[in-house]
Amino acid sequence: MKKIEDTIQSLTSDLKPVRPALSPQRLAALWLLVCTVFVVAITQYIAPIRVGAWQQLVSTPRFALETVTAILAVICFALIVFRSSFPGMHYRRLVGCGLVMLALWVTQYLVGLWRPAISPLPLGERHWCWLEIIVYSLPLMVLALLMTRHLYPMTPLLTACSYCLAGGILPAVYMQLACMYEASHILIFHILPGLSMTLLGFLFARCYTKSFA
Amino acid sequence: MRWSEWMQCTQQGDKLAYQQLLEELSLMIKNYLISRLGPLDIIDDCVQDILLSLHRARHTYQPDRPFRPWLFAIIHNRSLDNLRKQGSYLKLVGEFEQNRIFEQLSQNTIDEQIVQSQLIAKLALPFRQAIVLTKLCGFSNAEAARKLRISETAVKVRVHRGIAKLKKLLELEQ
Repeated sequence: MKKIEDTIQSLTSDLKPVRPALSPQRLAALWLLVCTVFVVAITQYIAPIRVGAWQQLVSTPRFALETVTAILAVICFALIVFRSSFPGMHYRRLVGCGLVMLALWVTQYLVGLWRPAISPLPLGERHWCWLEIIVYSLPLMVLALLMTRHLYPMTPLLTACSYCLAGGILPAVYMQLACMYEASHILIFHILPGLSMTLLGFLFARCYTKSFA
Repeated sequence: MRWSEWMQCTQQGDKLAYQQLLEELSLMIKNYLISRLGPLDIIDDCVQDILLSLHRARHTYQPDRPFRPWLFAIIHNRSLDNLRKQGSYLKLVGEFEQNRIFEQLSQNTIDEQIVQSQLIAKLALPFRQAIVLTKLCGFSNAEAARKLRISETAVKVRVHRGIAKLKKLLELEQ
């Protein structure tokens, strides 16, 4: 008990005012905004997006649905990242929602192998699209790591995997507009690299376990 | 309500409110852990660890949200982590003491101990045995495997699953 009293004394004497962290929703919105601007700007800077992509998005409901489900998945995982970094916040339903959206997104392209939403054309092909996705997603993950590191992630692995997944999907979604539309190309060169970034979550999670040990 | 107000004052740097908060919480946490896990030697360390975690996480408390879910999430997280990290009991007591405890357990006094820790009592027997032997009595996985006559891997799996179930039980309580 003496040890506990000493701890209380030491913590009290060291107390400094702190600003309550922004709410998880605001942090997620902030992260998404910065990441979207970054991905759009850098993709545009490297090469212009596919001609007529926006037109296709408006005129082809299935293509719009593919894009919307992916965006919803990113939003779900971004919310999970920050909600799981605050003690006592619920996020299990969001995990379910995110996974369902992710599955829907991938399924639509699997169906697209037989019945594509848009006629496949090599128009807008980017030779290093898979590498672009990997490279663009890294700063997004590092940003999320920096933003969550000073919070208190209760499940570091879930937090890290969630932002690696969201960070991987975001450039992959924009690549749907920027690169050629062809289901097998999208599955192999956009979605697969995007999803595989989740594996980096195991690496990023170690940054938390060290700091909380 | 009072804890929530004290925590808000703490965030503004009020040392008196913080001391009152920590003093009340330390007692509450200690009683809570004893009622849930039993009178273990690690309880004091666990309380200390939780207080340190509360200190580190104090900026994540949102004044517009209830205090208890925030507090109990940290308590559950840290106490389970402590239970996981609890290695061989050899660090704490000698081998003789270990065997004495096991003999007591074998003579069904385990039930008495489990009554004290109601949460562990809710676990199915295989998980309970694995956790009691490795985490409370401090036997190594190999030693527990020999005593339970199962493989070492099976012990590890049971402990892992048992702790996961404990976590779920704690979350349900929350």
